[in-house]
Amino acid sequence: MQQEKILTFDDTDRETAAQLLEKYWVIRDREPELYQQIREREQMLRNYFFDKCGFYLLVHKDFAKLEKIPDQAESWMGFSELEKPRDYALLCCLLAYLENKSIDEQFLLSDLCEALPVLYPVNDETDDSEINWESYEWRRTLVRVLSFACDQAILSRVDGEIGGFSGSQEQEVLFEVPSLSRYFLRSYPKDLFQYADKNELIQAERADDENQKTGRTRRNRIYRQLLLTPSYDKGEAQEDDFLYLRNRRNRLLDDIAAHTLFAFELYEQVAMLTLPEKRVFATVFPDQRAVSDVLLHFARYVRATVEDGVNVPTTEGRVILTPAEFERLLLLCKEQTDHGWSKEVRTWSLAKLSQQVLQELVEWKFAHIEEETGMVCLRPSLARAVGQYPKDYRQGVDGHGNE
Amino acid sequence: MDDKCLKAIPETTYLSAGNVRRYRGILHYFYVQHEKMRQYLFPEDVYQYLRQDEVFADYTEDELQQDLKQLVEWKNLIPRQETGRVMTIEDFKRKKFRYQCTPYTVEIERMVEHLYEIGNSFGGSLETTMFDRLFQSLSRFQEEAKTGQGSELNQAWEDVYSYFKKIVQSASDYLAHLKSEKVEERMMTEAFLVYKDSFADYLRKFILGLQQVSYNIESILRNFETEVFERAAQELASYQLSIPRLEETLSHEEFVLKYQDQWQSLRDWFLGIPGRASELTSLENETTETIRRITRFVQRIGEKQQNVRNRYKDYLHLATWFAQENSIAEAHALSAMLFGLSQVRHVFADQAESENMYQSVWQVAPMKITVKPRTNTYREKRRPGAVIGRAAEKTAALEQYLAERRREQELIDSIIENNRIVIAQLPVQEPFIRKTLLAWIGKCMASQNHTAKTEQGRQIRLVRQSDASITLTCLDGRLTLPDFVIEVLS
Repeated sequence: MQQEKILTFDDTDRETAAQLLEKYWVIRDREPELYQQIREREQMLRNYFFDKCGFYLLVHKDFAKLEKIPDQAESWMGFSELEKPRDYALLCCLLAYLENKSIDEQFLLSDLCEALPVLYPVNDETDDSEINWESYEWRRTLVRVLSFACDQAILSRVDGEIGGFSGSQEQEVLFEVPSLSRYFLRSYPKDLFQYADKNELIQAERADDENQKTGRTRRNRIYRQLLLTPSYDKGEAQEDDFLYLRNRRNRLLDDIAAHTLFAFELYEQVAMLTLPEKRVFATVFPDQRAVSDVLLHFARYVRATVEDGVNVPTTEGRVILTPAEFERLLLLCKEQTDHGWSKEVRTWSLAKLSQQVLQELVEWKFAHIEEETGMVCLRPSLARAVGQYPKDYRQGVDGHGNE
Repeated sequence: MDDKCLKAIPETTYLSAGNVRRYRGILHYFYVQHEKMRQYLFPEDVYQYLRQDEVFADYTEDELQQDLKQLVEWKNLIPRQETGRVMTIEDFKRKKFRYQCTPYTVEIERMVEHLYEIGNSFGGSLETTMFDRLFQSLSRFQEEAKTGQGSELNQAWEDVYSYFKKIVQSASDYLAHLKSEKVEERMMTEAFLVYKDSFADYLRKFILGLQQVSYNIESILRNFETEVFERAAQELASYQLSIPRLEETLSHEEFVLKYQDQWQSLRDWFLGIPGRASELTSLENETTETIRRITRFVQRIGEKQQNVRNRYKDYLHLATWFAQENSIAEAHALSAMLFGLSQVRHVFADQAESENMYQSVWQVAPMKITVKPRTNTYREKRRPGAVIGRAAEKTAALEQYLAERRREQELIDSIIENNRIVIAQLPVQEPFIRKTLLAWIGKCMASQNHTAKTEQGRQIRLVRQSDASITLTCLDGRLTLPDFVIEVLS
């Protein structure tokens, strides 16, 4: 049989594909060159992402968007600008408000403020809208949502300053409805209000999968995990998916190298796409934040305990710790390395430190917390990169420097 | 009896209503302005006019607003919101209305004034040929105005004015028609798709025609000397008086004034008055806006067909989902399902050391990342390395480079004869020469007097010797270019 030919991308194609993956969307006015590149490669990119991930590439006259729907939704996948569930709820109300206006129509913040309490879900207990513009908290929430909406270009500000609203309800702002507002929410074959809750929606997606247990569904699932997330753990994978990875390893190596900026790595218990070269636009671990340093040191200490036989990874390559054990390990790491930590992180209490580090570990899929037991599961991907101080650094506060 | 003969006519209510003086005052002004081709009036114009009269000394702007509202209700006036987007909150709040009197009102006023019979009812269309005709008649009038007399001159003026009148009427009627809700409704339907192209095409042609001719008209109007028109107006007035009439007519001065008024409104329409854009501009803007609206409607219709439906209910439904979430982490996860990921995450790592897929990551050497201590006592040290002398190589490279430049320089010198480079006469050249010449030509073209300075500091000038094309043959191909000569000035 004839081997399926792998269509390769050139450097620009790969770069363009990477940008599409990384960005929520590419707005033509803001990045005309990138938009143009996508346009020129539209067909190729569309075919690739649809075939591998089942993602749709939308190319509209004002923007291009690769709709990246995860196989498993996680906490770090949302918009970090939004801080509370009600930020999201308010954003949806804003979108509803915009939906009933025509494109390019203008409106005032005061009109929006009048409309939002009517749109916002009523509180079950008080049977009343929760929104109260007298409250500083609510005004801050609206400011966050509006600034976010403007950043994302689903709203455009013509005149006036949004920020002023947090201080005064009298602040007036003139807005306009851009065409992009219509495309922020992904498109569904069915009306979303037909689903009672989000679980029903997720079930519906899964059910579709069941209906067509073809190789394609599996491929999409695996590619989604690989391309979108830091690592793909055997422990989280469906049965046989890792077998698929092993059988196709060489094909995957070639395919990933040919179409992305990533390198495909496959170990006994984890598969991951690593980025061999740092890119300005990419979100990678480690980054510039001080907490990244702590994670790197921590990884090194965990590895040391594994090498010493203190901790033995499970068959899934996980190191399972009680919260207390986790804290002890973190404390050990702190004692040995915190002379080089940033001042702020160094002064955190152990509780705060462990909470921050744990959150960060979860967001990079280096760990997760078992729901039933509350155990901290360190995942194999944590072992991939470790940190160490420079060789010439010997000025530790407690005399401990580098090994 | 025919039913229509028995119906009340609300348009005439104003003639006998309580505030009849105010209503009549307003509508009369509208009518007079209508006759001067000013179709649309702003409330402040009306107000200023009325206040000139003692009767209206106590009249307030609020009262005027009320009266205008009432007249709109009686269908004597048509309000029209100023189109176009605004840039400030202020402008948005007082989005202006302009008013136009209805054809009925005009007729009623005419009737009331014992004036002429009704002309064409408003139908309206955009005919660029009318701009052509206006331009032609205007040119003729320009000639006549200098020396012409009597009926010739009168005819020329009548032509100008009647074409102008027609343009104003039909253009504004047509646009008013386009803006009416009925038409908008029709645009929303899918049936509109069938003729949107021809429709948009019609408008586009109109705009093009308008732009081509209006420039000429404007330039005539701008260059028309006041004295010349003065003379023409005098002549026209005399001609009018020379026609025997039974009824009372205007005096000579009044005729002159009337012509001046008409002339002024013509000028205003095309050129605008200080502080306000001309009607021509707004006609152009409105036509463009209409085309844009058509495009938008078509796009929306197209989107509808692609199953992009109104998702108002969806959004509100989702809002309840989010509002029910207990933690931001869950809300983020839900967001990813609904909106898609905001970014992807990956680990930065160099080449993996193991190719063995049956090995655990714990057993493979990790990527070691150097963490710079975040203390101010630590300074990164520079690694001392042996200094290797490369002076000889550098000198050699420099030598080679300079030799190359010298050779090129000689090549250039060789094609300069009598301080001129006649490209047409050059023998076969090296590619380097072509590149240099092209760079020079580019530089010269960019400057106003076609001179430039070369890399060697020579002042050169580009001269076009003839209209012919010439060919420069180089070792790697032939370049066809205009017959240029480069003169070396210094």
